[in-house]
Amino acid sequence: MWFYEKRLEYPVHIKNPDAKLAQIIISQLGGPDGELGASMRYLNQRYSMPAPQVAGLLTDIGTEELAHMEIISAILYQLTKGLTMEEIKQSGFDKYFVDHTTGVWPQSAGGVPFCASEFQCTGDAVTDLFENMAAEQKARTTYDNILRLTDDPDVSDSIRFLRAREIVHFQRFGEGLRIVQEKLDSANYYACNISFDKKA
Amino acid sequence: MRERNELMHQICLVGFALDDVALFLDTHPQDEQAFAYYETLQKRYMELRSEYVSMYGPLNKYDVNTGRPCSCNDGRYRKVTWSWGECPMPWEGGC
Repeated sequence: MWFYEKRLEYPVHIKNPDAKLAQIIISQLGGPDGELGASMRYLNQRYSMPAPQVAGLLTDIGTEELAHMEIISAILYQLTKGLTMEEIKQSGFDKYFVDHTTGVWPQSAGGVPFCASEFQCTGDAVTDLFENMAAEQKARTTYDNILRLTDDPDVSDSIRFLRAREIVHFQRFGEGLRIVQEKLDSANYYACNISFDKKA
Repeated sequence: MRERNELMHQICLVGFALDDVALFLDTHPQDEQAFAYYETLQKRYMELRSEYVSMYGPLNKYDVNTGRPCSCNDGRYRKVTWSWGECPMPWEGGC
């Protein structure tokens, strides 16, 4: 069970609304390597994770990703607060605005709605952990690109925090993979489908 | 208000350190130094959040009405009311 702690994991205080920037950053909410996909990926993978220690890690990182979703959403909320109709039209935000006004809805920067196809749960612990390590690197790359596309110090500050967390999570998943591999049957050389084939 | 923001800042700092060390301990459960650090942070976090809750209102629903009236509602809120929705949400720059 979960409960909500009424604070952001990292503060968001944006002084200047910027609808163009919001349209880019929304990719880290509902895009292919965004925080919604990240949290769903890790929380869903827990049930087929044979090592309890690594199931614990998936729980903790999956929970932190929910907090990252909230940070991204706070950035989007503050970037689109108090926009004039003129700013909405000139920035190209009108295409989002027509369906959602300034509500926060998960889609990619290209306008593709969030889809569960953006993450996997294969039921194979080794496969899933490799997916997670790749996912953390992909999200880090997206944050690098967001930092290339903005010069707003308030936005960059929160984005840099999120980028650093991708690096830490990549490291922790690498250690999780090592823990799972150490527990493998030595006859299972290719480390295939251990959650399903290997009998308890 | 400055004091409230400073206290929240401390909660964020210590809370983050706690969460980061917890991930490290997930994959290094035998690390005594990391565990000792976790215990220090845990104690500090509980102290800071109790102080915050007693002065400025609940941080989670289990804190409701364990503290004094929330300062951001002109004193209209009384201790016996459901205070969970009294303060601005985090994305509004609130609690």
